[in-house]
Amino acid sequence: MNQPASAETAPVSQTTLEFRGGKALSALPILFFIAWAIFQSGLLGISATGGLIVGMLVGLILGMLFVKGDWKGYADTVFEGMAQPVAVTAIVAWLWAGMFAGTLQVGAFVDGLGWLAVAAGIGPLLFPAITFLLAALLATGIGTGYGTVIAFVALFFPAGVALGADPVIMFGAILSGAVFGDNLAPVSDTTIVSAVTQDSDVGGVVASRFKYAIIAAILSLIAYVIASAMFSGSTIAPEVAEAFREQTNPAGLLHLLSMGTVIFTAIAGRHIIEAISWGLIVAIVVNLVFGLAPGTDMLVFNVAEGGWAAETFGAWPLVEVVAAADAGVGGSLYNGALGFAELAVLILLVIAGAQIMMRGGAFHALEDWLLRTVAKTVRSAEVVMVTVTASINAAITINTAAQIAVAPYIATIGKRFNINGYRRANILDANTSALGYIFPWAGGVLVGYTQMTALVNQYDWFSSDMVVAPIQAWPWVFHGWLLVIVFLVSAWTGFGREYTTDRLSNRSSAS
Amino acid sequence: MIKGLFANWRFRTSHPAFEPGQQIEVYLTGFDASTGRGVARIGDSILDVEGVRSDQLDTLVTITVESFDRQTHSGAARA
Repeated sequence: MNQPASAETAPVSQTTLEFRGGKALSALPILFFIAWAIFQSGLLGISATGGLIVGMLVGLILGMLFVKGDWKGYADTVFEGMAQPVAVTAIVAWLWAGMFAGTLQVGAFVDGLGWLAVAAGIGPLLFPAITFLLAALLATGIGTGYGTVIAFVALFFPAGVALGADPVIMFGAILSGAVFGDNLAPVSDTTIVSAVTQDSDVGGVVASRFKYAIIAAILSLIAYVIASAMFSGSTIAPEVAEAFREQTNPAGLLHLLSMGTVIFTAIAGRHIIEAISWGLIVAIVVNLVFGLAPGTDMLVFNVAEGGWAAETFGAWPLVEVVAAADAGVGGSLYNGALGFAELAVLILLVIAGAQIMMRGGAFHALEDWLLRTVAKTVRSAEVVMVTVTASINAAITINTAAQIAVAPYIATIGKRFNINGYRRANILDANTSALGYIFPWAGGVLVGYTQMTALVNQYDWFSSDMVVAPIQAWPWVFHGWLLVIVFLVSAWTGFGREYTTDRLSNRSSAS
Repeated sequence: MIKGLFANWRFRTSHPAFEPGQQIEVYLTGFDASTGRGVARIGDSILDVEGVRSDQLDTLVTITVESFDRQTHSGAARA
């Protein structure tokens, strides 16, 4: 399947919306959504994506009340925004990535990584640094930073704390690993959005952003060792470490093969749907052949007991007979794909709001102001691209949504200086990934916190004072901060900069 | 693939230079309707472009560099 063209080149009508109160009012739906997100997740501490969907819906309704004349144009613009290829491409990729991530999780991949850490005899000094490395590895393979945070807070966090590592540094290291993967993984939603919106291929953006990611990662690794040496953690009973060892399983490392399949196929320039499909096939085969997970862990039809269907199909493979209340479809393919359903709806609504802002002129007014007053040289233009991306992502819980809203700015400002698609995509994605895991209302921080509170009930020894509050994490997400700093320095010095005359980003999969 | 990961580890100037006769593909970054001439800004270098239309603004165009002054970082090109 060919990768669809970006929003900039999509054939769209040129409807212009006029708002009572001027062009700035066309930003109302998006600004209302940002305010809602800060209130809901930052102040109330509720990380539910469903709540953000309502915030965006209410914002779209409020915006309509300020439209001059016929409201049909506003409604048409909502549809026009939602129909853009950029959102559909991202949603399709999430469905595939979700199935792949879930299948690796049921296949004991995290347990395999844990086995490696224990076998290597990692102590409290090195545990956070190694956790960062392994979280980065997992996130790069499965492409979901949120999934990585959840898995690592569930398994590595208690282990690290049990071995004497500082809980806050451990949480920071896990979040840092998620940032690394979100930024670099070919199957990451933010990677895909960055490539598609900046007219680039996924393989090309991953290869070209490696240099920024690895510089920040090496510095982060050193920083975690130094921080661990400076702050002594709690000491926990030895049986906790033993329980952790019992969970680990070297066979899970076989999924390095599944991860490698996706990474290599994607970097080789194959379409992301094709790359993940191959990785998924390898993962399913590995799970079945090596007994890591039965077929029903990946796909199961739970049929209600007592009925005709249960009697007829009950003995079939992938069919299980359950109580009527538990009937339904399950398994990693189902759960993995369905996990993105709410985010998919949210993204469609957010880009509808962004389209309103474009048709109403607020986007262009801001773009013109930035280009006229701030971005006067290529150096200042790149600094603006970094700071605008980071600022908008710092304000919005779901960083992919922020990224989609800011992507047209980055494309416009960058093209005005003939900065090529890879460089634009890299500036966009690094600062999107970084800010999605730092502040207390960021989605990554909130899912980690939620998972951590569950540990109190899971382990007798894990007390509530070991839970890291979202507000405590921000100084310790070293890779996030360092990635932003690397890009500010790169913008200022020209490190890694590429012009369209040096190399045009490859959109061969679209041609 | 490995080569791709380690490509472009360099500092790129704000003022890229071009040679006369060089054919390049650039975004047309400006168009003056009164003169019918376009501008292609690459970093902080400016090329005055002849033979382009207003509807080509912000799109990729293939141009041939006719002259370039490395002191003023500006030159002329033709579509």
